[in-house]
Amino acid sequence: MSQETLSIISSMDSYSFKQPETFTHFAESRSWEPGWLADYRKECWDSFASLPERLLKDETWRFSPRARFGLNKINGLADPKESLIIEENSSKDGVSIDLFDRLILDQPHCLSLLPKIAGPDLGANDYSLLTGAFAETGYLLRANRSVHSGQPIIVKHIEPEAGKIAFHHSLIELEANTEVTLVEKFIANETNPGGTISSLLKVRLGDGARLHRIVLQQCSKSATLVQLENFIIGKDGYLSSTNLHLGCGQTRVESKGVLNGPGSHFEYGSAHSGDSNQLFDQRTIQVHEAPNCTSNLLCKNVLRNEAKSIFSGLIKVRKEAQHTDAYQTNRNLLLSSEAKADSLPGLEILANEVKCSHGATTSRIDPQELFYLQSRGMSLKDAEKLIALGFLSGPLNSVSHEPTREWILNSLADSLES
Amino acid sequence: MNSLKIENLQASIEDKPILNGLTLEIPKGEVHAIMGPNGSGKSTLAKVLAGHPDYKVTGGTAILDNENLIGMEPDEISRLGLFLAFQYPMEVAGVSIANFIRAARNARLGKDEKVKAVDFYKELYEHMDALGMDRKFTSRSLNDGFSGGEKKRCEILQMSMLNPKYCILDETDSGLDIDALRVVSEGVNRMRNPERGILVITHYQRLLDYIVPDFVHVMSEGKIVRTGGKDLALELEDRGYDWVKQEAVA
Amino acid sequence: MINPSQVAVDRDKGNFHYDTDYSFDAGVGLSEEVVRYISEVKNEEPWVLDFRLKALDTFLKKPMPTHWATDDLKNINFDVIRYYLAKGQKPSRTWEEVPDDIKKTFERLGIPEQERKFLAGVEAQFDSEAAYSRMKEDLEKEGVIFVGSTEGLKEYPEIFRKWFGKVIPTSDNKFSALNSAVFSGGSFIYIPPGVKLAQPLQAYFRINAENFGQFERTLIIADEGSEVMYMEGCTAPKFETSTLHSAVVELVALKGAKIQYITVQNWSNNVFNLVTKRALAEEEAEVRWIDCNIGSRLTMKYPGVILRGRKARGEVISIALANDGQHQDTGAKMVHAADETTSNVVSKSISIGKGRSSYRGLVQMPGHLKGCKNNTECDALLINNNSQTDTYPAITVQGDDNSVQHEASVSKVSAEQIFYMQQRGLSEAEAMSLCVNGFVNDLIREFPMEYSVELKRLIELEMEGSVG
Repeated sequence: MSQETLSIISSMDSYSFKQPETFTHFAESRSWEPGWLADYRKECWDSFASLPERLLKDETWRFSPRARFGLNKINGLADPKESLIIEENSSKDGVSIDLFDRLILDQPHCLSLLPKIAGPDLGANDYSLLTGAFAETGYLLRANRSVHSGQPIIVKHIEPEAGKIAFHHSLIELEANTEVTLVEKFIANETNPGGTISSLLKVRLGDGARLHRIVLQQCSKSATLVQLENFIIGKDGYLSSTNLHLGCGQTRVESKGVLNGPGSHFEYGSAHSGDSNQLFDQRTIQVHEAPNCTSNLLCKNVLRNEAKSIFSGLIKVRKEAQHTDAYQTNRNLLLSSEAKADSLPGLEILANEVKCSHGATTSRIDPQELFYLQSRGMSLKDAEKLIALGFLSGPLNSVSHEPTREWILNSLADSLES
Repeated sequence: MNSLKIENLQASIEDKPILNGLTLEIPKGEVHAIMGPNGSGKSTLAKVLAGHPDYKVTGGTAILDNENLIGMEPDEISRLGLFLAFQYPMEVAGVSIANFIRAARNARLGKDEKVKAVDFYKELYEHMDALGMDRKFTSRSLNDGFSGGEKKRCEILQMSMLNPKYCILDETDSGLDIDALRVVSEGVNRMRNPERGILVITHYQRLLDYIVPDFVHVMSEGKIVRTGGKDLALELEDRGYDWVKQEAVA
Repeated sequence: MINPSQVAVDRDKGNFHYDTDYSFDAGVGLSEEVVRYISEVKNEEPWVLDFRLKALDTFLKKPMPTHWATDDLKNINFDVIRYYLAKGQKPSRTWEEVPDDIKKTFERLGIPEQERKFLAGVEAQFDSEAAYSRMKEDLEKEGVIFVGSTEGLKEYPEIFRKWFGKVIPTSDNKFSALNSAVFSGGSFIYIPPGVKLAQPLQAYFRINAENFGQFERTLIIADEGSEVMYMEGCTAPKFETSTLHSAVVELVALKGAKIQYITVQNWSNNVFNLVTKRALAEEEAEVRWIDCNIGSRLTMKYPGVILRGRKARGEVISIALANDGQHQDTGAKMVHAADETTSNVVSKSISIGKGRSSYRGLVQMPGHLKGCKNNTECDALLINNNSQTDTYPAITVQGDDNSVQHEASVSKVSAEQIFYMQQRGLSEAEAMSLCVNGFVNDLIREFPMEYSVELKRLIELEMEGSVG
C-alpha cells in the first residue's frame, strides 16, 4: 500500500462521525475553551452518538431521499477562518456583530445563550448536534439599545472544498425595541466545489424588537446545505426571514418560528429555483404559544428537469394562543415531466378563537399565459423565464429595505437568465 | 307599564365604566333619538339593553313594560319584544335568510308549534317587496357577502317579521347611500305605531330628516346630558357636540 | 320521499341491547384456531382458509402504525375480543323468518320500514352474519347479485374471486390484514353491464354483543356502463368496554360505470372504527364516497380511489363530527394512474367539547401522466375551548401537465355571531346548531333526501348540551 493511499484512509478515518475518537481528538484540540462550552460540545456529541439509526418511516423525512444528506462522504472539517466572513463596517452604534471564534477568546460569556436555545428539532437532529459539538465558527449579532439600523449587516458563508464540512453555529439576540436588517449570503467554492455547510442559527427577539433577515444561497450545484434555524419572538416582536435558494445539489432547510410573546408576528418567505437534479427539502413550523399573534408563510418552488422539492409545514396553535391569525402557502410550478413536488401542509389547532388556513397548489404554467407572452414576440424560453421570475418574486417582495429587495430580485433574474 | 324605562344604568367592559347612570324612558308610540360623539357610549347602551355578555351591569334597571331586562339572556330579551338592529350585522355562512327568520319566529311559539310555511313566505315576500329586496335573497346566506345597504335592509326585514314592541336602531345610517337610507327609513316609518317604541341611535343628523323623532337626547360620557325636540338635532349639527358637553359641565 | 317525522332518529337510537343466544361462537381472543373455526363454520373452500391464515400471519407481524397515528390504538386489547358470533350462516329472505330477538332490533332501527319505502335491496348484519338479505325480484332477473361475502365466494367464484383482495391487498395495513383473517358478513354485489339501479341498495351493520369485533367484507363490482348506489348504516349499544369494527370495502368500477357509496355511521363512544375503503376506477368510470362519521371512540378511515383508466373520476365527500372523547381521524386517498383523471375531495369537520378531528389526505400524480387534476378543500369548525383539529395532507405531483389545488381552513363560531342570533330570539344551543348546519349544509345536500333529514337531526342532537 502506498504512502498516499494510507494518508487518504487515515484522513477519512479521522472524520468518521461514527467513531468516538473523532470527537475526543477534536475536543483535545479545543481544550483551551471555557468549561461550559466543552460541556456543551460533549453533551451534543453524546446525544448525537445515542441517536437511533435513521428509520425508514421517520415522518420528519417523509418523501426525502435521505441518503443524499449522508455524512459518510465527509473527510474533514473546513478551515474556520475561510468559512465565515463578516463584511467590514458591519458593526454600528448599538449593534455589534462578531465571529464566534474571536468571541470565545475575548468574551466567551456572550455566547452562553447558545446551549440554552434548542435547535428547530424538525428531523435533522444529527446535523444540529454535530454543529453543537464541532462548530469552530459562526456569528453573534446583538443589538442592545433602542436602535434602528437602516443599512444591512452582511455575513458570508463560504462553501468548503469538496469532502469538507463547515459547521456554523450562530446566535442573534436583539434586545427590546431594536431593529436590525441582516443579509446572509451562501457563496460557492469556485476552485473545488462540492463541500457541505451545516448552519445552525438561534434567534431571540426581545419585546418589540424587529429583525429583517434575508438569505441568498448561491452555492455550487454539487454542494450540500443543511440550514437549521429557531426563531423565538417576544412580545410585539417582528421577524421576517426571506430566502432565495438558487444553488446546492441538495438543501435541507428547517425553520421554526415560535411566537412566544403576545402581539408578535412571524413572516417567512422562501423562493427556490431548481434545475438539473437539485433537491430542495424544506420543513417549517409556526408555533403559536401566545395570544394575538400572527404568522404568514409563503414558499414557492419552480422546478425544471429532474429537480425535486419537498415542502412540509405545520401551523401549531397551542391552547393559550387565542386570536391567532396564521397562514401557510406552498405553490409549485413544474416545468418538466420529471420535475416533482411533494407538499405536506399541516395544521394542529388547539385554541378555538383562531383564523388559520393553508393552501398548496402544484401546476404547470398556464398555456394561455405562455401564448399571450409569445404573441407579444417573446420566445417560449423567455416567456417561461419571465413567468418563473414573476412567480418567485412573490416571497421576495416582502423585503422592506429597498436596495436589498432590488438586489435580491436582480440576483433571481440573473440566475434565470444563465 | 307601557314603556322601556331605563333608570340610573351603569355598565362597564373589562372594568372600564362606559355607562355612568343613564336614565331614559321610551313610551310606546314614540320615537326617541340618541345622538352623541364617538365614544360617548351610544352603542354600549344598545348592547347592554340586548344583554351582550361582554358588558357588566354594575347598577340601575331597564324595565320593559314590567320586566327588568338586566341579567336576562339575550334570547329571553328578544322574545320579550326588544329588537336591536345592529350597526355591524354578523355574517352566518350556510344559513339562509328565510330559514333564519323562520327559526326566530318558531322560537316565539310553543314547543310543538311551528309557523306554516305558506303563510310565512307570503308575509316574508310582502315585507321584502316593500323594502325593494329581490326575492332571490331568501335563499342567500345570512349577511354573507352582502353590501352595507343589503345588510341594513336585511336588519329592517327581520325587524318587520319579528314584530317587536321596542326597536333599537344602532347607527343604521352608517354605510348607506341616500337611496338606501330612504328605503330603510321608510321601512322604519312603516313600523311606527301607538303600540311600539323606537330608539334611533345616530351620530349624524342626516337620518333624522327621514325618521323624524319625537324627542332627541344627547349622550356624553355615558349619560344623557340634554333632551329636546327634533330641533335639538339641527342645533347640534350647527354647533357641534362640544357645546353640549361644556354646558353639561357648567 | 319520506316524512321526516316518521323517521325515528335519536342520538341514542342504537343504544339498546336485547339478549341473544348465539349458536356459533369462536370464543375470546385471536389464534389460528379461531381462524380455522370461522372458516370451518362457513364451510369454505381451502383457498379461502389459506388466504385467512396468511393474513393472520401478516397481521401478527405488522406493527401498530403509531409512528403517525394516535397512541390510542395501543388500547385495543386483541385478546379480549370475540371474533365470531352468529345464530346461523344463512340469512332469511323474509323478515318473518328472522329470529325474534334479532328482528326486534332491526324493527326498532326502522330497517324493514325503510326497505318498503325506498330501497332496492337490504342486507341486515347482526354481529358476524347477515340475518336478513333480500333484493327486489326484477333486479335478480336482470342479473344483479346482492349476497353476503360467504355466499358470494361460494356461489359466484368466477365473478368475485378475480377481484377479492385485489383492490386492498391483505398487507395494506394492520387492520386490513386482521379483517382478511377473520372477515365475516358484508355485501358482495355485482351489477351487470348497462344495468342502472334506480333505487339504492342498503346494508345495515349492527354490533350487539359486548367485547365484540365486527369484520365485514364488502366487494362491489359495477360492470361496464352500470350504475349503483350503496348505502350503509351502523350502530352499536354503549358498553363499558371497547368494541372493534374493522371492515374492508373494495369497489371496482369498470369502464363507464358509476358507483356511489354512502355511509352514515352513528357508532357509540366505545367503538374503535378502523376501516379500509378503496375503489378502482377504470376508463371514464366514476366513484363517489360520501361519508358521514358521527360517534365512535376513534375512527380511522381514508376512502381512496385508484384512477386507473383514462378520464376516470374519483370523489370523497365527508363530514366528521367529533364530540367529547371522540377522535375522528378521516381523510381521502387519490392515486392518479391514467391520463386526464380527475379527483375531488371536500371534507368538513366539526370538533365539539373535547373532541378532536384530523384530516389526512394523500394525492399522487406521477410525471408520465397528462391532464390530471385534483382539488381538495378541508374546512374545520371548532365549537369549544377544548376541541382540537389537525390537517395533514400529503401531495406528490410530478410532470408539467398536471395540477393540484389544496385549501384548508379552520374557523370558529364566534361569540358575536351567537349574540346576533340570540338577539333574534334563538337560544344559544339553537344558534349554535344553526351555525353548524350552515357549515355543512352544502355537503348534506349530497346525501340522498332520506339520509340528509336524518343527518341534520343527528347533528342537532349532537350539538345539544355542547354549549355553556
